[in-house]
Amino acid sequence: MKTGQPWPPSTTLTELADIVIVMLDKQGNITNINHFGCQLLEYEALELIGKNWVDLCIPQVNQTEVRNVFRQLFDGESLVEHYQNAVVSSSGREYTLNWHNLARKDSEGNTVGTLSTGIDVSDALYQKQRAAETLELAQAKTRVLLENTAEGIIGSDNLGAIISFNKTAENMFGYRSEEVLGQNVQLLMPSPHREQHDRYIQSYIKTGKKKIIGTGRELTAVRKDGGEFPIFLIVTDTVFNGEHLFTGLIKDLTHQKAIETQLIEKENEIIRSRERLAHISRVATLGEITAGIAHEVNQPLAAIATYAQAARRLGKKETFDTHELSYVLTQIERQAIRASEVIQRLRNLAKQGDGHQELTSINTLIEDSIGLIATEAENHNVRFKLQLDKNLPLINVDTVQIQQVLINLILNAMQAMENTEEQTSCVTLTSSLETASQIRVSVSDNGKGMNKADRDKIFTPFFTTKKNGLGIGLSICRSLVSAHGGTLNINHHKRKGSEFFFLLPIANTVEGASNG
Amino acid sequence: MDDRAGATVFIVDDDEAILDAMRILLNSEGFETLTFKSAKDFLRSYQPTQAGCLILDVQMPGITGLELQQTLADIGAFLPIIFITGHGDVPTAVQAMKGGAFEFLQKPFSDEAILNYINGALALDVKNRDQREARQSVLSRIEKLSPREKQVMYAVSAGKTNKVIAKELELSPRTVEIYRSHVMLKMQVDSTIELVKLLDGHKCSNE
Repeated sequence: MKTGQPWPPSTTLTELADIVIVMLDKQGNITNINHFGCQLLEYEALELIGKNWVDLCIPQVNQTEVRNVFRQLFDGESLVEHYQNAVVSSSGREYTLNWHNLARKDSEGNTVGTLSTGIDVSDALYQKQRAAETLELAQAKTRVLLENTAEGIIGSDNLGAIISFNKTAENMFGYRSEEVLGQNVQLLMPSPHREQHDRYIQSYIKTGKKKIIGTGRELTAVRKDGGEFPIFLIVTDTVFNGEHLFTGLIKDLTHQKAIETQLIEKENEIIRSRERLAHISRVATLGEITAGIAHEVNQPLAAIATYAQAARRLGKKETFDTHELSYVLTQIERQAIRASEVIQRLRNLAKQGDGHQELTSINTLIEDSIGLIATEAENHNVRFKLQLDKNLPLINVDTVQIQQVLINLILNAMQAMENTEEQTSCVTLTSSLETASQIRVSVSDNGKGMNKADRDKIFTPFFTTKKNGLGIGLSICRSLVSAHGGTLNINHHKRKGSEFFFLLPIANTVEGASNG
Repeated sequence: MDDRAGATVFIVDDDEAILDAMRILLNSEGFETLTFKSAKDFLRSYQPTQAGCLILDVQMPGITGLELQQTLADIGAFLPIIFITGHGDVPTAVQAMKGGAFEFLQKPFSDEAILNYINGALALDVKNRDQREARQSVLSRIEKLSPREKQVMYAVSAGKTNKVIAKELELSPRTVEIYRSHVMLKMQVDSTIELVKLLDGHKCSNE
């Protein structure tokens, strides 16, 4: 049998290899095929021998092409290497093979047929294709993602040229990406960054010192129309093939800033109203103690007048004691200072709190407050009892406001005792350390106290137990204390009289030192 | 000027500067002064027999000026009082004047004014003291009369005749006549008219 044409001596090897080995005659009929070839094509060897290779095993679409290859071989080109084409199995499955084709010649050099080896690359091809598709999909996804982020994303290179500009960035800046690609990214910045930006990049590349890379920063950006807007910018640096790729992630803060501004405005308004209210209450308080203060100013003035009269008379005498005259003048000076101190205290009380906080001792504030209403207290036969802890840490407060709170509480205490039988009306003020971070100040009276219902409502605005009270003092006091991070309350456990107390945070000494 | 002899200007004010200034001013004008920081201090040391006048602050802790005025009246101390006040409200001034205050001054006051008022007050004190002394002597003379002599004296000062008195007291006109001469002698008067003047002048007419 022709088919019995012997294989070269390495038959076993050809049978074992995972490659298709097929021999064709001049007509393109199969003269031999190895075992792997039969397996791949799903035929017995005998079913294939003598059949036309192209007709049987090449998919319809490739047949012409493959015939040409063979024609070239027979026409004298002894080798058409690395040709890739598909084959089809008996069940219709297609495989892509990389062919190595060789023309077989007889002893006279006439081409008698071909010997081809084919490596199945379908799997590899499929993988490659899959990989390509996956990559494309991933890229597409990334593109979609990048285009539609809430942040603007701008890529730039070593020299600052824009290499990508996403849709969000387009909307933010008013440029289409075609307009800016290739342009220097400094286009999007206001002065002085615009002029300095190239230097920033070069300096970073040279020194590696990160100023904005990796950490975000609030900056101003410039739109196409020249308008500026606030942004939050984070820049990341990726080194790719030795080239820096900078990616800027930009968040438009315009809206946020507007809200912030509104919030600040609102807050300021609240603070202003509170200050106005506090001022009104302070003026009201002032009204209550004006008589006392007028008296307090008038005393030194009266003393001055009398001293001056005495001095005038002493001076008119034929012989006068210069020591006495000098004593009188010293007294006049002293009394003038005394009057001015009263007025200073008065001015401090009357001025609007400007929110200026200073480091101060609560005991000083307590003593100053008592000084302001000492006369008023004397007129009501009220005594003060002080139990002050001398070793308290300082507090950082608006002294005017805290003094107002103290004076309010003391006046309340005095008024609470007005109609009592108590022989000695006494207001007790204490200061102590409540916790490691808070001091406690209390103002208590020995009046008749309040019932529970009144106590519960005592901080409610416009609630009052006084005949002519407005009912705003305590609620203002409470808001002043809470503005300092403290609390104002009534002691529900007090047996006799009433006790109001407030807690204030002690000053952060480190911060205090830097402020001071 | 002799009103000042043995007289002291007492000053009571809770403000030490006022006390000091007043002391220097008054001393420079030759007044004797004593100063007190509170009504209590003053009451502790003051004897009603001490002559002078009182300069008194209205508003003081503890006993106020008006309260001191009342207390002094209660114990029969009749020092003329010049009130001084930081803010003279009308009701306080009215109450002070009704209580017999000599003057009510608002601080600061002129030295002329306060010195004038002090002189006035001291003169008044001298006058008051003389009157009280005279009355005291009349009263002590009356004390020396026997009950019958007193009855006869008040009847005589009421303008009754010996005859009427004798009838009322169921005595003989002769006996009335004897009592009457004892009264004239003990009361140190020469005539009935003089006796009536003495009794009326010191408000000792009848109890």
